[in-house]
Amino acid sequence: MEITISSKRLQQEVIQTELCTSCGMCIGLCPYIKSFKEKTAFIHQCQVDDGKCYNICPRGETDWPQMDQEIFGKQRTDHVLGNYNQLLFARAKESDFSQKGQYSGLTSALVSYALSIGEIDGAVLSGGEPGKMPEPTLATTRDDVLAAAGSKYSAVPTLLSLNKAIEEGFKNLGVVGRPCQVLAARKMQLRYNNPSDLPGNKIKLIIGLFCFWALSPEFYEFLAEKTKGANIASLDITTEDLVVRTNGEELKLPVENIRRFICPTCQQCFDPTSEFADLSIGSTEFDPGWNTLIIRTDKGRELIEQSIKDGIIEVYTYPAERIPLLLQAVGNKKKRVLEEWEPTYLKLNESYHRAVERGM
Amino acid sequence: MSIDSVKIEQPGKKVLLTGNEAIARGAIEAGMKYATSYPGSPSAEVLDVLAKVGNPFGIYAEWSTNEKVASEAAAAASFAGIRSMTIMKPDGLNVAIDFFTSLAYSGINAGMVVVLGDDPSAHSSIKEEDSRYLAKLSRLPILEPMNIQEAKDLTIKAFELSEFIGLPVVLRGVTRICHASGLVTLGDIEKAKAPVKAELKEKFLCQPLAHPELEQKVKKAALWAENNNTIEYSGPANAESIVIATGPCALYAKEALIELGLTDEIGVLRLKMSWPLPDKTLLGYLKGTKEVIFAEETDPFIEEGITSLVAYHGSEIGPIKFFGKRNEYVKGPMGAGIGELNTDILIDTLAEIKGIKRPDYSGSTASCVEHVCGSIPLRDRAFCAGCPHRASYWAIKAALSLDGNNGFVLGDIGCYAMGRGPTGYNMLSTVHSMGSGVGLANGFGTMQRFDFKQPVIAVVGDSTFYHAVIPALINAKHNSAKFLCVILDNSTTAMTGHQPHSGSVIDARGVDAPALSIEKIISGIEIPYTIADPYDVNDTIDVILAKLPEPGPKVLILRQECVLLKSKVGKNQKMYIDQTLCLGSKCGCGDLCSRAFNCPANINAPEQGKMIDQALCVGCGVCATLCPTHAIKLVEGS
Amino acid sequence: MMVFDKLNVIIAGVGGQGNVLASQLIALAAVEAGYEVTVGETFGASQRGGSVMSHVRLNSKNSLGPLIPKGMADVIVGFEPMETLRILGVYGNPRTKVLVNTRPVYPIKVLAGEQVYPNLNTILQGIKEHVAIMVSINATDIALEVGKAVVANMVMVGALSGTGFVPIKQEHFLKVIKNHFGEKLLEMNEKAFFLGLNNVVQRIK
Repeated sequence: MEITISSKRLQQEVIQTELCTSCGMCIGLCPYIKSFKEKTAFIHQCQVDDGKCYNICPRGETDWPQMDQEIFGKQRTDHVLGNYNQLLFARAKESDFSQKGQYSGLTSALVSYALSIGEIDGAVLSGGEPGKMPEPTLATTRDDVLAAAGSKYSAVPTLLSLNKAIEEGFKNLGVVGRPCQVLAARKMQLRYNNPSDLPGNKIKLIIGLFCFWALSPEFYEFLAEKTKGANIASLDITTEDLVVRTNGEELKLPVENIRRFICPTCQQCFDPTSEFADLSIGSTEFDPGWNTLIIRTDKGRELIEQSIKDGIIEVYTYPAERIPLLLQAVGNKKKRVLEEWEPTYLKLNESYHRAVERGM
Repeated sequence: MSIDSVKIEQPGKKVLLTGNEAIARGAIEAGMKYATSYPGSPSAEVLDVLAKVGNPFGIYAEWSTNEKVASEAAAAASFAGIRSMTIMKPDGLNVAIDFFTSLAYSGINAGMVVVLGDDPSAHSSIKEEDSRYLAKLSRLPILEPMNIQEAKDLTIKAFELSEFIGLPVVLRGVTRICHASGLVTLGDIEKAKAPVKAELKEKFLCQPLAHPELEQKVKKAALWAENNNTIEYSGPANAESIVIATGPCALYAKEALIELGLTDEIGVLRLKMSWPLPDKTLLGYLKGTKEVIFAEETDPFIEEGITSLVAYHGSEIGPIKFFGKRNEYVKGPMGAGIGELNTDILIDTLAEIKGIKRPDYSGSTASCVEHVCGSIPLRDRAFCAGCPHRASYWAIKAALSLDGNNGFVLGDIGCYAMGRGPTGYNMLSTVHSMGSGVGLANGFGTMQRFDFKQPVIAVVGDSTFYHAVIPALINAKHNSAKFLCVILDNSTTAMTGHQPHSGSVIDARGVDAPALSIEKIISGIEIPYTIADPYDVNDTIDVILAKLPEPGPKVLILRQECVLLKSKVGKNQKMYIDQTLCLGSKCGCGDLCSRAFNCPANINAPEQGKMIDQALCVGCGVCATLCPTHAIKLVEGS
Repeated sequence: MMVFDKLNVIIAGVGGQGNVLASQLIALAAVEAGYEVTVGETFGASQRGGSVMSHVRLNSKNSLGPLIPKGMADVIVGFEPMETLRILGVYGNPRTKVLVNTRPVYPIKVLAGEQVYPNLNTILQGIKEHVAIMVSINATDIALEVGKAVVANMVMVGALSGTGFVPIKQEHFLKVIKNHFGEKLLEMNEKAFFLGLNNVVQRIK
């Protein structure tokens, strides 16, 4: 018999199978779901059919073509990067952002700008000090944003502060998150936006990050051990190395050392570039002074245009010779997921399968 | 029925007393001066009463830390020449038994009475235990009152017997004596005001050589039983059928015979003393009898004694057909030897034995429930509205779920034993005797070498902590047993009626007493501890999660006063539900406050929807912190 | 006033409603009225939401056991509607007289949504159909008017006095109430007694 009680489905299909991404969307939505050390747990059984907790879960059944249709009004032609408007190099013009942020600090600059022009009244981010377990943060000022700047490499349940912010009365919220979080926020926005209903209509801007995997909390214990407890100034994970800067010293470890901390659910992630975001931002794997920017929706395009006009960021054509490298990295990941895992949560149509056969 | 009646100085006056009050009155009339107890149902009120009214009679009364200490202290008074009494439940006798089996060998001096409150059907106990077997093991003669008057009278007799043989004597009450009430004709208590002097003049040594003397004392007790009218017969002369009964079962038997119209046919032979038996007198009654029906609670104790006696004397008294527990003619609602008896059961038993039909009084009313609504929901016991234990179990449940390592909770007896039921979210994996959760945790906590990985929590009450937990914690410290001991400190012995304990600032008599701090004792054992407020559920969850992975034993004291005490002094604030915020049954969580948190004050009324039942709510505020929409609010200024 | 040879009264309710105290006061008042009285009850765990029942037996001789046999209750004083029906099915008979508090106390399993509390009117109508006479009163609401839900027990004692179901005079009840309560609580409890009494007397006139 098919289970219809959402909390049971979530437990059986997502939590017990270790597919939970710790996005945080269901936490705080319901008093029965809590998280500890980034693990999501049910503290009491509920009886609700068709409940939000399962319906907004990024690892709940997800019809990919339908998401495309609902967000972009059309099916994708690019099965690697999804629907998008423009692919660019971009960077923040103010040095505050580039110094504190990862690479050029583009994300921080855009969030800060969106707050300053009133596009959003709060932004849900991952904050906390480098080298320590990140914390969900709600930023309302430029200083808040700067304080939270810098990449976080672990699965922080950021979205629990989204629920909290909605509860506190914020009406126009921005979300910066990993692709799984973008998916969750977008599901909430699309499915629960009735004014009399809850919180989807409070989500105004979704900025997605590139993410090929996230690390489990044990990584921070490992890090503390390697740095012998020294204060960590910054953290970077490139394709080859883990680079940790402490006060004056730089520690480089081969990236193989941290593979064992990769969350199991990331292996089944089909979305390394946040395909359902308004804007997707990642590294260039080329020039640390720039970020990769994918403009996906009209809302995203308007924000970028305005921020260029106001001198907040600048953009540059994506170097044509780099495009195949990006497509290859993303395409391989997606192909691997489909071939090795055949994730049950993913509902794809024929065109995807043909694309996979063609090698994405 | 009122403590004031216990101290009335009018010999001959009839007053309404409970069985426990009658026992206390009997003790006062007998000149008892030294009383000890650890509270246990159904006999807890005996010491309550003695402590409250004993002062003018020079009576010392204490709530002891446990029953073994209580028994030893009372024995000391007896050694020093002062009549003493110790009062306990069957579980208490289990704790004290090591001392009693030794005390039998040393004997005593002044009269010492052990009041045992057995609880057939376990109305307010964790199990039903017939404590007469342990009393017999310790060679303590057993007296069993039939009604409230006799609860007082046999108490006085027990002191006489105790001094006659030089052994403590058991007065066995059952719930239907201890908690029942009846009219009692008072005796003289003027004499009891005379001062007494304590002095130890002899030695009291337990040694194997004393065994022959002990058996002589038992024979002397049987002789006393022969000579002191401990057997009472009512019914036709030379009846061929008799019911042999002890305690209130004699009343049930008599009423059953009246209802069945069998009073001219069957007699009732009642034993006031169920061990040792007055063989000679008994044989006199048994001679010529053809049928014997046993009525006693709960085990076949006199049944075994008497059938064995008859086996020895079969040739003298002729064949007798027995109806008892052994052949399952006499049985409680769940079987022979299980649960209490009553008039109804004996009506059915006697009707079956005699092959007659029992009268029907109920008529059509008997089926009223089926007629009206088919069936009625059961009413399970539950934590009171606002009980801190509910909040504590909620936090423990949440913490173990979040921790995600299949942790479990070990419990014991007391209010918090309800942690095994729905209002404690079925959290308890074990429930046994006082403090045994911590003892079991010692075992689980040292099994890492066997690949045991589950987190272990043991819960205990504050009174239980003093009673039986300290040695287990010492063991845990010495052997590095890994577990979290959660002390549910509600500042009282709640289950048995809020008696003070070793951590209270007053003693049994209401006199100021040094309160032993739980945390100082734990500090002395060098176990790390944290104190939290269980009403602050989120903080409590965090503390438990932080403590679970730490090595060795840890203690968490969850401190919040019992709401029944709090509501007595009227400190409570009021809560209400803001209906504009409440999601009712559409609550995304499915009725969190009433269904999941399951507090009886969070009601889901058929027509009005979610409400706070102002008749029950004590304003603890826990549901307000759990409500997902913050619909549950505090009434300003309440 | 009628003279009774033997009268079996059951006081039934839920732990925490103060029904044990009510049964004690009824018993003491019966003693004042000159009866031999036996009371059987269980407490201890009674404050914890379970069904609680006291048997008060009035008699000319003191030889009764503390428990009333099935079908032999003459009067049932029910502090809670569903409990009243439950007790009636075991101890009642067509001649039984019933006084019932109409305020439900929901069992934990009902709150948990696992069981359903029967319709209140169905219960009350059903009780009425199976007994000689039923008098109902919302004692809890009356008690909340006085100030505290717990004095519902005195409202019920007052109401019992008003029904005349037991051969105990009002002055006997008042005497034991006065003896029991300290100065501080006496006024509130006396007030509750009279509210219960008057409520019933007006309606059954």
